[in-house]
Amino acid sequence: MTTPILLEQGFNGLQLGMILFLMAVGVTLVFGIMDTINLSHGSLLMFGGYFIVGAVELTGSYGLGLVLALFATALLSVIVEILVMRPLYRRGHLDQVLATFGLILFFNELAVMIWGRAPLYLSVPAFLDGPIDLFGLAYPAYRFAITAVAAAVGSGLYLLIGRTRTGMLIRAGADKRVVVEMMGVNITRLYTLIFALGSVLAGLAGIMVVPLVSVQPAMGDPILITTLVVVIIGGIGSIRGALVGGLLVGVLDTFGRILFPVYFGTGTGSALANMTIYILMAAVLLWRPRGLFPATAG
Amino acid sequence: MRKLFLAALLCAAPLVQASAEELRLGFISILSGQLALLGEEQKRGFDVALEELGGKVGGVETKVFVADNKGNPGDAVQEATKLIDRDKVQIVTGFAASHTTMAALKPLLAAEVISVGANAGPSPLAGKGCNKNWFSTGFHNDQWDMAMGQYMTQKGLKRVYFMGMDYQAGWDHVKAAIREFKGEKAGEVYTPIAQMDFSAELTQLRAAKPDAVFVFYVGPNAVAFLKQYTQAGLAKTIPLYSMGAISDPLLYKAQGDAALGLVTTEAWNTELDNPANKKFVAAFRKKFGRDPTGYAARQYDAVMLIDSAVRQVKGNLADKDALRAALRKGDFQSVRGDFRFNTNQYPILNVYVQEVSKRANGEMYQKLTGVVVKDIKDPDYVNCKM
Amino acid sequence: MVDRREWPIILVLAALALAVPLLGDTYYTKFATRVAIYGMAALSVDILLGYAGLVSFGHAAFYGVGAYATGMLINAGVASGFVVLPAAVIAAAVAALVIGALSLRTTGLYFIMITLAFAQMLYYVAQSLRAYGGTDGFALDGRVTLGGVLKPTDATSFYYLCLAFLALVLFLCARFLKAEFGVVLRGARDNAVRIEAIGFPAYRYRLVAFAISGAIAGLAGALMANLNQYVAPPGMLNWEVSGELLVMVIFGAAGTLLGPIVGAAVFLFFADILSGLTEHWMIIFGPILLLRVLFVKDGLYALLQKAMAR
Repeated sequence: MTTPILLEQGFNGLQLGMILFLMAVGVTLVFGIMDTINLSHGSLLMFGGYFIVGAVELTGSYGLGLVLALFATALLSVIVEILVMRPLYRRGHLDQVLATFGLILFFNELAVMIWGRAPLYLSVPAFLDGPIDLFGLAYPAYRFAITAVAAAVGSGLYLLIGRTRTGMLIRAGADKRVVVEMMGVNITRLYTLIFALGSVLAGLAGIMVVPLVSVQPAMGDPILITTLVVVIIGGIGSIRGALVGGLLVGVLDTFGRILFPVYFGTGTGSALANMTIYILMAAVLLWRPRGLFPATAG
Repeated sequence: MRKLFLAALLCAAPLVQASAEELRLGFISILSGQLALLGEEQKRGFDVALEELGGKVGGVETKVFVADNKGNPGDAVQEATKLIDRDKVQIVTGFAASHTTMAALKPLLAAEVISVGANAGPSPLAGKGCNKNWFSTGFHNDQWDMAMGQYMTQKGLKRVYFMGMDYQAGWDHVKAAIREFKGEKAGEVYTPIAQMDFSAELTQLRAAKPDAVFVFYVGPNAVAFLKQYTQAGLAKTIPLYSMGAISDPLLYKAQGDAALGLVTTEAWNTELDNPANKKFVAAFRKKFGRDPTGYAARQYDAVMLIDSAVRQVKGNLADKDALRAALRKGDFQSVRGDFRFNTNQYPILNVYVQEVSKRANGEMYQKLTGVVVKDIKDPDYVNCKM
Repeated sequence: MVDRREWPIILVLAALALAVPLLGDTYYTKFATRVAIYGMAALSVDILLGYAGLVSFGHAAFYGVGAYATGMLINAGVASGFVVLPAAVIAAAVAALVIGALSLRTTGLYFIMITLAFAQMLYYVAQSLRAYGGTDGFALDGRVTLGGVLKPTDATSFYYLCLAFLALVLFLCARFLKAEFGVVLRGARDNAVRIEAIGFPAYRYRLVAFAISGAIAGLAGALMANLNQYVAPPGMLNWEVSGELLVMVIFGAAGTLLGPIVGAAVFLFFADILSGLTEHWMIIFGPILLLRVLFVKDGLYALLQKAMAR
């Protein structure tokens, strides 16, 4: 593999990793702070995708559509949090798994009923169409933009969690819920905020991914599984872990897909490529059972 | 609880008695899941045909049973079993994709139910596995791609990179093109059906520096691949060839201008000049407001074939041998012009070249640019001992 | 062995189960066969869930291993049920031993995720088997034969065979779950530290339970492969299958033996009947599941038990 190709695949892995990072934040925060598993997180990616398509068609502008879609995702997530998640916080993990599994089934069918089964499309915003020159190679501008946006979001999160009062409360909420409550903070609203934050990030991931692959019912489910793997590798409750885990998985998956078939033939090669991240997860769990960067948020 | 449930079941299931005056026609296809748009389009062709026949296939009252195999071989088996046991169908049509077709045919052929496939023609059933009850009116998976392989050779291309979806149909289509292409194979890559992001594969493709690329992608994967191919700047430098399913009226809206100029091969085109095709295209446009795709056209043909056969046996569906003989004759007005079966009950076809273009009113369509090969036979029929 | 007051329910269910083929329609018989098979698979999940307190989100793996082992052997020419079925069960048990040995080192959310991950891995392994159709899977050449007793295409005799296996599994589970083994398992679920203090190695007991559970799921998979005469990754090894088994357990009642089977019947009933009414039946089913989890404390079978106790 030549250096430019290596570089380009590296960028591909980075882009995938950043999308996974956006997805993982929501899952890891909800796991870590509310001790709740939410399988329907992938559905929020799907809805983000549908919302941007609808919003752009409605307003004719990508920028306006983006704002609308993010807002709609936030609204949807708040409704879900109040109706479904709140009763689940106190329940056992089995109940959470089953209830959110039921949500997935419901959401996927809802998408079919509203938007139909055919994939919906969105074109890349005109100014990002086509390749840009990246260290001498022609790399799709849009993919680069995705990586840049996700990185910006990541930095924003770091500042939010590390430098603001809300962030401090989020971190505290992970450790000592009772203490935070005694401080007079409305823990219910804090949980809603955390859930909405994670969901909007998932929606953003969906919004950004649509022009690449289009949006269709149930598209979030396979991404959900990969996200769970990222969270386990990175460590439950850790945003840093979500970033490292996401990048690790993104890069390994990208290179694995290409290299394994070359060395092991198409059949075994692609199987190994798909297995890579699970083997990694199993290894991490056995060596560091709590993930690479466990414990509190941030 | 069990009692209530059984009682409910008894009420829900009809007490079935197959009468010679009634045709129980099954339609099994992919009506949900990733490839649902194929099945839905087949159903449209089915509906247009049924409407034209006034709901009476072969002049006989027809009861239609629709089954959704969810794009899943396991479900295909279960749905086919339901069609046989619960609905007691005499003929089944539909059959969108190779893997679900192979699965559904297991119980169907075991129960000797006449099955008329309207789309995919899996290669295992064209050779040693051929069966007197299986009629593939659509095509054999190899045919269009064999033609494309020949076309690419005719064009003088030296190195071609091949990509496709990782399942029976993908292997069939891609390997057929490779077989007929006499130049150098620059690469052969299969991606999982579920994979929609081709960034890594496109990078490798670019690294291989081929003269052209041949792909087999359908439905949502076709949309995704084409868009990413264009965004990576590859569309301008490396021409893309495929078979008809990569871009058609179902996908134009999603693919946009990225699809313009795509050269593909297919055994049918809206512009084919024969009375049956003109009637069909007009009827479809009237009902759905756009050009039909090949899925609808082939399903229309399948229904018309069944219609002709039932007419020939004068509605006597109990005489299966006569019915099969009538089907084998293929004596009906096909939208593809002359239609005839090979000895393995797969069709012998003309394959055309078409290019995605725009009409004066901005509507995208498949422009018929020529004939690649006439009367192409699939390679497996020699192994069929029927 | 079983609570006296439960006998009426058991007898009624057994009578109904035996009577199904008398209805004369293969459709019902095949439906009941699927209930029996899925019921067995759901039961295997319940052994871990209801008794050991372990939520396995990856039982599709063992179900699939049993199915694939069956398909591979039959297509290789080995048609005798006396070889194929035990082989499938052993293969699934071995897979469960390996996966269990690794997974049981974790608890809670981690356990759920790691079992899911291993199942996904096996899905991809199956998908890579080109010789066996990859993601399309492959058709079986026939069903297992049992020394001339079983007629391959006869739905009724196959149904009774599955019922027999189900009864056998129920009997064996009842025995070892009511015995010391089950007591230790539940003790470990309630308070692992205390059970270890008394001298019972919780890990080892759980591992044995996991292996047995996997073996039973493997048997179910083997029987399903025979029923459908088709084996493929989607529909057998995908994570939705693991989810569906959990749903069946919860619908029926966790912690009971017949509960999962009732749950399987309810689930399949919904799927079949609802899907006949509308293609969008999931929009009804999803919320039903949600409501069941949020508002109804007991599964159907537990409700039946309570009704009998009054």
